[in-house]
Amino acid sequence: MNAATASHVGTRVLVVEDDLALRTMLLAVLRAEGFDVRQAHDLHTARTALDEAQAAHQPPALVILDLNLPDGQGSDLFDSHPGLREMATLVISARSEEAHKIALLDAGANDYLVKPFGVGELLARIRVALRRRPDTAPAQPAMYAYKGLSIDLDTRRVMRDGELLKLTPTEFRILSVLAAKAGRVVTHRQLLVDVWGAEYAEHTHYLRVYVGNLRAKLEIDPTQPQYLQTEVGVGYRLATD
Amino acid sequence: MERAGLCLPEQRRSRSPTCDTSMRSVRFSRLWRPAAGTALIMAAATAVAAGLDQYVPTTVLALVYIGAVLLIAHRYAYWYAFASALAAVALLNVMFIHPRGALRVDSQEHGLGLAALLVVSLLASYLASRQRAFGRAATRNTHHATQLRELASALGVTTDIEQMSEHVLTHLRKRFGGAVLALVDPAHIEAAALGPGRPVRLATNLQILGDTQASPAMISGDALRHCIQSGQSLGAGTGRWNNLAVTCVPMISAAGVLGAVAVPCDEGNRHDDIIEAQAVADMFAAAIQRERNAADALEARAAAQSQELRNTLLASISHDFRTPLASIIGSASALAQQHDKLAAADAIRLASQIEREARYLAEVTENTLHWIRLSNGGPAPDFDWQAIDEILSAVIERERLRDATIDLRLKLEPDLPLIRGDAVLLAQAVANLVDNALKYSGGPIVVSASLHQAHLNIDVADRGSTLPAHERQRIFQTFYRSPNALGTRGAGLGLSIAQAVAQAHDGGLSAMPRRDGGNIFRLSLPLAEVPPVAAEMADAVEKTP
Repeated sequence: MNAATASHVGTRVLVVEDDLALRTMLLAVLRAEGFDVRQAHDLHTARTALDEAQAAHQPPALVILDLNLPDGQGSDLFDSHPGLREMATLVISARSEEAHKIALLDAGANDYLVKPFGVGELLARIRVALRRRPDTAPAQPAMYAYKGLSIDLDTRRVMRDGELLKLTPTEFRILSVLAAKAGRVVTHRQLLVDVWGAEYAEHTHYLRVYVGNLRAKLEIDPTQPQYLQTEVGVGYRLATD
Repeated sequence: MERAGLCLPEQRRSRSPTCDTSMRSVRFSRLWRPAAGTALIMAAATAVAAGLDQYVPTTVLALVYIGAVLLIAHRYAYWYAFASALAAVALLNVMFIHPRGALRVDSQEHGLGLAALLVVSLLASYLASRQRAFGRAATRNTHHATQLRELASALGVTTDIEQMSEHVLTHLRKRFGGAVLALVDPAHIEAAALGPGRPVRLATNLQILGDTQASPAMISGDALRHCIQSGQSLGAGTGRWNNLAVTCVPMISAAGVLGAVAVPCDEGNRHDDIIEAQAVADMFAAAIQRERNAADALEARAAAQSQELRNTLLASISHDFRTPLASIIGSASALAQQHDKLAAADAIRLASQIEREARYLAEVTENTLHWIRLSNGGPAPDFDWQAIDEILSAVIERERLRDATIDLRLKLEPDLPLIRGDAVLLAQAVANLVDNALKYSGGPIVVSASLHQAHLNIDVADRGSTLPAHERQRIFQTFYRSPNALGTRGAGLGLSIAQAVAQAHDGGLSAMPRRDGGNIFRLSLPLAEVPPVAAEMADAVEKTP
């Protein structure tokens, strides 16, 4: 925890949340972790905060964004501030906003949290979002390693417990898309478009079949996947520590 | 179905010549056939008489003609028989009575004979004609009665008013050669029932069906409207609007005038026709009224049920929300006001309790929302291709995250096909089944998926006490809580949501006893044909450099 706290000291975070109680909680938790927190309670103040930060050349490293704001949708911020796609973004949504949340993930948000969530979940998502922040790590990570599974994206080698796994080209493509965003959710649509192409965006059955095959090769027990995790109704996530 | 667009009388004249020509040809064929028949029979009688002339006395020849007149009276209308009676006397006189070739008698005996022939043949023709008319009427009545009975039974088995209209139209077309129905929009029946003297705006809400364009039954909408507004018959043969080509009869039910029927009436049987049209209209009105009453009763029952359900939901939720809220408020206020006096371990315990209770509240809320969504026709489920193994392992993963100590196993048949479904709803249904099993048995719990006859069965098996048969039925009712549930929490929503999810997927949910004790809850989902997945371009294994 200390190490994590130390790494977050001074990291700028913008919290865009209209609910006072939730905002108070987020601010308290993030400040306790050492973040430099700014807050906004609607789209208008969020835009002002982003513009000011931009002008001062101090853009936030992370934006925590509620989907539903009194003066519009969180997604409107992506339209007015395309620079948001360069930052780590975490969407906070209610259960009923499933479709909207997925659309926002497709539009470039990094990850999401469903209300209600605990502190543990919040900090884990923030850690992952910041790790892959584009401005601090411009080069795509060439290596993924977790619990005995290693994926080398350059040499296209996938090893588990020292054993080379034989994957088909499509299986490898799926895995490489997930590994490039390890720890973050990748929506069904993103995967289908990245692996098969835009005309396959609705062919969910392709994904189900190939992910099933991939799990059979990757996982020790495919019924308890520890690497390739399912986000029901949203997409898949390659686990990280 | 034709809507409005009635032919007004002047339009009929200018636009639809078919109607007039067809009527003219009908009238013509009605005339020439009996006339030709009569002439033929008389000619035949004359030929027979001529052949017999030299062998028999004239009296026998008179009998031949009486026979012919009887035959004509039997076959054709009275005036043909009458005409043939006169013709018979004339023919007998001219051709067979001295002096032949002239319409004249020179003996009193012959004159009396001819007079007798005239009287007898007229009487015979009159009686035969009457008999014929009775016979025809009887046949027609039987035929119509059969048709009416058929219509009544067809209306009895139909619940759809549009289908009823079709039956009625078919019947009226067979019976009268054409028909027009005008139905009042249900919302305006009461207004229409107010009758004359009250202005009723029917112009826009009359639904008009039938032969409005093509047959002699064409009629002005005004007549139908007036018929409905006044609740009385009008048109040909009724004494009101007598010059109309059709007769309109109102469809009257207990609730008011539901519409009107217009049919062309045969001049000869106008009285019978009007009575029969009225019978059909009454029958139709009664059938419509029956359907509307049934629909009203159903609606009333549904409203009462939903009211009852709402009350139960409120009672159940308020209990389920208040208890955890009491604990949250208590713990939180203790933390806020007594933080300096509380031991660190107690403070942590209180905080954990707040978290646990709040998570429970979140779950109840989630289930309540699902239930409302499924029972009130909220947004349609989001159907897509799903791998059931993914959904099941995600559910189990989530349960384990919540409580790592539970004994929960997953058994999957290999190569399960994809199913069509809403992943979030299916996950919720399975989670509810698992929660239910945990609540009543504690574990071990086995979740399994297998194929059985075009269905994918998801079984959640526990080792709790086996449910008695009568409870297995009731357990899926909304808000039902088993007597064993005392001391455990829950609004009784979980299983009914699982069942609603199963139904939304055209599947089913059932409970059965498990061998060696316990219960199996089976969610059964129908299989669908999965579209093919194109093979990989290079189906080979990735080559490693």
